[in-house]
Amino acid sequence: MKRKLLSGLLAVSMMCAALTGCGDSANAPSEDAGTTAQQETADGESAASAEDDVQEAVDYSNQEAYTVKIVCVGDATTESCEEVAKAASAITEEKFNTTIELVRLSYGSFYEEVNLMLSSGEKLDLFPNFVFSTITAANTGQILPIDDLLAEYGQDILAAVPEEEWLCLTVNGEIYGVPNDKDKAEGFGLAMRTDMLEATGYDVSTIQTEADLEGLFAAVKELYPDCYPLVSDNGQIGYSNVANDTLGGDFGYLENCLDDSDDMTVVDWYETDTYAELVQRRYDWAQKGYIMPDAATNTQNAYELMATGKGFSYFCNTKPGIENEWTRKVGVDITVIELVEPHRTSTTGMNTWYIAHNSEQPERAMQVLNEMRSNPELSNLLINGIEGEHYLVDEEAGVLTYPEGVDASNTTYSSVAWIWPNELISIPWEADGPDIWTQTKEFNESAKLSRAFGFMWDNSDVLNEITACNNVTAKYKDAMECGSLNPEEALPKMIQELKDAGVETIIAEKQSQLDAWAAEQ
Amino acid sequence: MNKKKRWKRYLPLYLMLLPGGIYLIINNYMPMAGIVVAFKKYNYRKGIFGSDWNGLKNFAFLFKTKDAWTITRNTICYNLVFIALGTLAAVTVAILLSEIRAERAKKTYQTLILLPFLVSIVVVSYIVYGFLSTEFGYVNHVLQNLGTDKISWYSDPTWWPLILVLVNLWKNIGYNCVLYYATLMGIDSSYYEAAVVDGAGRWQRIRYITLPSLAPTIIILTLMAVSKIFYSDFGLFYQVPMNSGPLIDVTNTIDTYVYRGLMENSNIGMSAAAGVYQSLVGFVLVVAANWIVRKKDSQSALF
Amino acid sequence: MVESKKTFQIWANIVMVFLCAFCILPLVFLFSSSITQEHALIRNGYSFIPSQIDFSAYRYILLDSTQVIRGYGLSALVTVVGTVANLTLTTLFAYPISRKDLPGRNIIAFFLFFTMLFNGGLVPSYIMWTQTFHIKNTLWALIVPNLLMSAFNVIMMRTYLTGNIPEEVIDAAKIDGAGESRILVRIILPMSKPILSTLALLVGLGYWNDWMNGLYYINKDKLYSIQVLLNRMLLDTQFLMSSASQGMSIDTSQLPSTGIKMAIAVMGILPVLVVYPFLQKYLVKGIAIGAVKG
Repeated sequence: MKRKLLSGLLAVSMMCAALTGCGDSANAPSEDAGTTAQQETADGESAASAEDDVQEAVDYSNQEAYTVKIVCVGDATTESCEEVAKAASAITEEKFNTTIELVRLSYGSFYEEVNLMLSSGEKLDLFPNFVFSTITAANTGQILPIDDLLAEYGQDILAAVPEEEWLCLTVNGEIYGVPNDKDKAEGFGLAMRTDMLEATGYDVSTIQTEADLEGLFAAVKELYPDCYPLVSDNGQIGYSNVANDTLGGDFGYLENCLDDSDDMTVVDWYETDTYAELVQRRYDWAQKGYIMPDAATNTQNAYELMATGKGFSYFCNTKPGIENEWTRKVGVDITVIELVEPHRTSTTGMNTWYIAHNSEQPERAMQVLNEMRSNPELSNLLINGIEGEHYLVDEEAGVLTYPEGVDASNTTYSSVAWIWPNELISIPWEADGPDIWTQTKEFNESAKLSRAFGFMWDNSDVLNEITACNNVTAKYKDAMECGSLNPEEALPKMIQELKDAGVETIIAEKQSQLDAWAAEQ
Repeated sequence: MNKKKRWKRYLPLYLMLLPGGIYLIINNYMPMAGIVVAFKKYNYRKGIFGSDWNGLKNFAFLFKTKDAWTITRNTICYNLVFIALGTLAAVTVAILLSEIRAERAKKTYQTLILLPFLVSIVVVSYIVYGFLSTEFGYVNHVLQNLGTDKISWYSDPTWWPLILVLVNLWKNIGYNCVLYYATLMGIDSSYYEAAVVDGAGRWQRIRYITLPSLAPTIIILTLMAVSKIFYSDFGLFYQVPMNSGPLIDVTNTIDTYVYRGLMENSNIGMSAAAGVYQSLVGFVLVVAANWIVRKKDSQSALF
Repeated sequence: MVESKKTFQIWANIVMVFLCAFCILPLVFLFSSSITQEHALIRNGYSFIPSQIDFSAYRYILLDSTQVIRGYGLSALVTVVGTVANLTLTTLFAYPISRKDLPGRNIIAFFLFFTMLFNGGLVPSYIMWTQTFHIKNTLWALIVPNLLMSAFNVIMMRTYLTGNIPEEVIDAAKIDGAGESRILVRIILPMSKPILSTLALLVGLGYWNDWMNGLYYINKDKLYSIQVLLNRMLLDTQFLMSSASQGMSIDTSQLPSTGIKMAIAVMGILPVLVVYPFLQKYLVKGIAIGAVKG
């Protein structure tokens, strides 16, 4: 009880400080709050002496003890999580008198379990996002606005995150999440078996778009009649290979979002000529045997099909190290060519950390989050585990290797690097090479921004229509994009059924939100 | 009779009800308060009871669609077939089992037919895929050896009603059969002995002793199935057809519709609304059915 | 007469053999694909006879064998404890409402049945069990929520009791001066052997197969029952293979994805197949002994 009261007071005083102090000096409020915190915890010990010493970092090491509970994703044993948490706590205890509790959730049940934690009010401070929509999470009260906390305790984050990224996390004028540092742009390409490609002798330098692949596929089919030049991945060919901005998902896209134009018309993607050409092309390919016949229900991963020689290629995201990654997955040498240049929209590559609404002391969560994102030692610990047990450092090459007898299939701590706040300050693995993070940064910088970058879509008013429309696309989309359905019959049906299901209402709503957003810019 | 005395007489019986009753209150009735979320605009920070009321808005998505008819029809029709065919098959097999003399064979049969019930529906979907996959499937492999063309099973809805019924039968026959079999084991053997003495043949014994003794169980199981008639086994209709688009007209049920619709926008209020709708219809139907049963034979009624 | 009896037995057995084949063959199919080499599966398709035998899926699952053994042990424990508790509650509830003379039995039956119709959903249950009863990450989580007693089983038992236990038997016992609990133990239980052993089987399977409680209420790996463990493994392998990006130096293409799915299913079923025949015998005996001793 007492603790709650204290933390309440702390929060109030902090807010006051933030509200009053924003005029002249950005550092002033943080000083104030820091001293408040000290006074509260250090039993009246005077802390006012450092008041005017603006540049000096505030010392949080004698706050009252608190545990920040973080959920993480991936395959790690409880024991290893506890070990890592202990090592991480050593860092945060010294700085903030805060310990870290790490709970590992299965990838497949992450969303459900976190939702339960959020609705039950059980202890939870920080969680990563890769499935949540920030705007929905903010509107339904799952997460806390963090502007004040950032100003107080997130100086390193504020310094590192570019201005425009905050736009993608701002709901009703308040910031709700901290973006991860990782590969943030998205390009599309085709991953092919190098041996087959070389055998055909086909010159891939002429290939610019998906349509250009036809000749290559024909050459492969001729040389390898039993092989399907293009396979699907678990029943989907989920790449359109065009630069669309999905404007936050659901329905209604912005076409050619990288072009120099100021056209902000939201269109029904399935009604566009581009889409009609796409599905017609896929259907033709399926007829010619370029795409496997049950592509839409195949349960295999694309790379398994490629590994056995049943398949030649599949689409992929292009980013640094992608050829390496696919080579490892498939087990034979892979070549990747680019079909759509790297670009960014509000949602591509946007993985975020949130402070849960049920966090007892959000300011402590923010302190830890700031540390996780900026302290290489802590970041590396959380991502890669304990040195000697989960990895070895190859000092010379500056990369990590597995200790003897350990590999990816039996390591007790394999979390997912890009889900942590900052993988770019961790030590890269041998397989990715020492330069991978430098390349990633370059890749991010080279990416073009969509002209609607920063727009966020709030679908809460059209959920009924979205439900109905999702059921329509479930019927046609995957089958058509895998070439299993003749678009001449299916496409008009789908377009009509979408209209009946209210897709125009969704698009009108999105258009008005987009117009309002554009007017503000 | 003296009221107090009567109360005292039944007290031990009421006491027996206590542990189970308490469990039901805790496990089932207390969380039922959560049903209100179907009528709320759920906000995590405000909690279930603190969230704002939303009227019937959460229900709208179930009816504001052209698919409403298809999904209702599919759900009900499949359930009716499952109930009828499942009961028929289970009763037949249970009687057959009870008539078989060889004890060891009997036990073996009993174990074997129950095994499919143990396989989770996701795995069932892998097995079905192993048979029906166009490219790798066993059935197409056989068809090809016979000189017939491959069939693209997952894009042709014709066969799916049959496939789904078969899969459901395969998975549940053991379970239902065991329930009927237990009732058969409980029939006083003196009835049969008397019948044999009277010169009754096998069919007559089944007709006049076995079936009437099974009737209450059949009625009760059917009544319980009726209460779930608006529900469908999600795995059977979503996983087993591999969520294949061209099959949706014959595989879309209320549960799959809700799942597909809300997959990307998990909304607790809307999914709760769907549940309330399904339960409510089941409730009305079962109360009506029970009322009819009670008029005919009050002992067989559910309540 | 004798002749027709014999032909009937033969025919009945033939029908049952066919039925069993219908039930078992898909499982044989499952087993055979679990031991087929992954790439051979893609090249040659699925078949009843593995084209290239390979146990790497099982090897992968058994990598951490202590965890698997612990999982089996935990499942066995939970199944036994849960089944006994469940049958006790079920019998205690079913007997009174099977008594035609009990005042208010219909209301109670409705109170019971109503729980089959409506439920508050996962969120309120979760809040209650974790916040009020604090069962998260305890053994209770695998036993108590949802599985301890089901209206379905109680109703099955009640139906059995009303149909198979004549009122005269109970009346006679009362005249002899027996109390209700004595009637339950001495008369009802011995006469309910068939339904009790059946329910024991169904409840036991329910406990054995359950992974939902484990999924929601357990996230410490020492408390994973075998089904929870297998389920998590399934999810994790899928993930492991779709995310080879995070600096893995192994060749994930060697992980048999289809094989693992199938092998995981086999690992869940096999023990039941092995244990069930023994259990069947023991179960009937156990109930008989319990009934006499009590």
